Amino acid sequence: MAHDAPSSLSKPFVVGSCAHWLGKRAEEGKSHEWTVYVRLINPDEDPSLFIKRVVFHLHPTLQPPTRVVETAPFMVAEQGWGEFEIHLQIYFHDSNDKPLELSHMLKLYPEADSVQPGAAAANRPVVSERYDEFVFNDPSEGLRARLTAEVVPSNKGWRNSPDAKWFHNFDAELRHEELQQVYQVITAELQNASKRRLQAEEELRTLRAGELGSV
Amino acid sequence: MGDIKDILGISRESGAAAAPKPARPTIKKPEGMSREVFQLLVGDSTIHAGPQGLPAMPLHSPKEAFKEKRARVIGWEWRGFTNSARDDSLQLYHWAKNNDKSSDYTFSRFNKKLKALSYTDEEYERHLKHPAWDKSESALLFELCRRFDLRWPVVHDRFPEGRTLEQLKERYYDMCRALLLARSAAPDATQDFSEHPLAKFRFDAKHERERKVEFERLYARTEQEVRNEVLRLEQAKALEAKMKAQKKLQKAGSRAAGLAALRSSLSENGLGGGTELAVSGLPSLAGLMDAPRKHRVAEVWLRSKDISSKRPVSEKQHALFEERMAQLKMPARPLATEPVVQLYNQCRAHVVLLVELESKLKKLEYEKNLLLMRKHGGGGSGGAPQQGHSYGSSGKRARAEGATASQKRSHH
Repeated sequence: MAHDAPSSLSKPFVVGSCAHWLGKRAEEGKSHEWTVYVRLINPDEDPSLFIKRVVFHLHPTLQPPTRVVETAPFMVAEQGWGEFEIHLQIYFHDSNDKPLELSHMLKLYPEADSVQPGAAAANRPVVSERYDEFVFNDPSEGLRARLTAEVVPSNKGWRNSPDAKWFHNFDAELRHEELQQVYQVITAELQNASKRRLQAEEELRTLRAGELGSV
Repeated sequence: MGDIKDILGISRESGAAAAPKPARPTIKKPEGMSREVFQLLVGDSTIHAGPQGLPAMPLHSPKEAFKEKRARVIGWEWRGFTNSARDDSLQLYHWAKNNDKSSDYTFSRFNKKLKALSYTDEEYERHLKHPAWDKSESALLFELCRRFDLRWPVVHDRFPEGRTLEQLKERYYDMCRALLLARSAAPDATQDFSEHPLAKFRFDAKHERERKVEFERLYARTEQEVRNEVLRLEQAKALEAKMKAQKKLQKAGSRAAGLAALRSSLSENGLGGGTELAVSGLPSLAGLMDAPRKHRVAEVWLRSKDISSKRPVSEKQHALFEERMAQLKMPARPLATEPVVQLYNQCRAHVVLLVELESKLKKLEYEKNLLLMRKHGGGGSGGAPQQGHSYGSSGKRARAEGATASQKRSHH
């Protein structure tokens, strides 16, 4: 794959949800308190510099089901008991294009195999996050300026979020290294198979030649 | 004289008695066969049985068969007939076969009469009025249609000047339609005519006119125009063939491009740039290293959309592919940074190739084993295919034995 043309810019972000269990005495139907959010990787960066608005489409039983957030933090907080798929539309400043669409599966209950025993489980929220990047292809002048502006620490980042300590750390370097190792295994296997193919074809040729000779 | 009599089937007074009976072949009873069986085989003496117990010659002499045929000769007769297609009872004569019992003239069945509709004055007043047609004209039209059995050119010829053929047809069919629909809608309707062809289909006068105009135009083409058209059609054909050839070439080109991209990606990562990969002829080579780009028309997209979802071309290999992906610990959802996605796509493309290469290898191995078997079998005296078979079946037997053994074990 070719590198993106220099005219394209990218911005890494995370879409995710964080759910706290409210304990046994919680109101019926509201066992969890959760947030769904779009955050940037940099905890001090203000996402509203280039994100104009995020529209969250929640489950129709929640009123109102469509939440429009016009400024950072781009987040919706709710209470409930059910997991469902949340659809998001992201609008950017100085862009006439359709909004970017993505979805996130709300997660309230921990995976069966990762349940920690005792009280720790109760205090530990269930965090489900996904790393992705916005890729801007030839953005408008205004948007380009917004994207390339030097990051000044802003309190509109998520550094001071109460859930900040639970957020995942995405180590791109590590993933790349792991994948590099996989790649080496694959190429080795590929070369091995290719060698075996040549060998098999050679054997077949000699066998065929022998057969022709004998007939 | 005797020969002629034979041909005519007239028996000779003395000949019948003197006809030599064919000599019956005497069959000796084979040794060890019981008398009863032999009797069955030879048959009783009343029929001329061959050694196989079948009559060796026809049971009836050809003379008798010829006689029978002669009895079936059918004569011709000069006979009078009437034609039911005629109004008068004119009697004409013709030759007819003796066994022809029909009294009517055969060709009278081609005299098809139109069952034309008729209408009452009241019906005309209520349903069939038309601003451009008066009552007498409509009546004349119906009369002519009935008289000439809808032979439209004739009807048009007899009709007073001033109406086109299409107008006549349109008026006639519209009237029939309106009549039928009105009759089936009437409260005392005994029959539903809505499925009647006359009610169901509508005469499209406009289309008919256009059709005729087009036809006229086609007919009026000059020779030059016809020639030009043929020429143009040929050109189109040639152009199409050229495009097809180009497409084919392009496909081959994209295969080569896929191979080139594969090589460059390998050498870029410092892996196997030197050694040639024997991946020629694999089905997924075309466009192998291309990233997905359908989403790239937008101004902004998600990096995760760049992640390849390439699979082997053959659907049969998909399960194998998934298995291999898991085995090689390929992440189900790679982290969507640019370098990771790029590397992931390369990996994925290579796994596709690997799966295809491995199944190619399997095929080659199979072929090799087949040849080897034949060769081993060929050491004997020409029983190669049987030898091959026995190899296969012995393998099967071994497996079957294994199965029974395990069954036994499970019984204990």
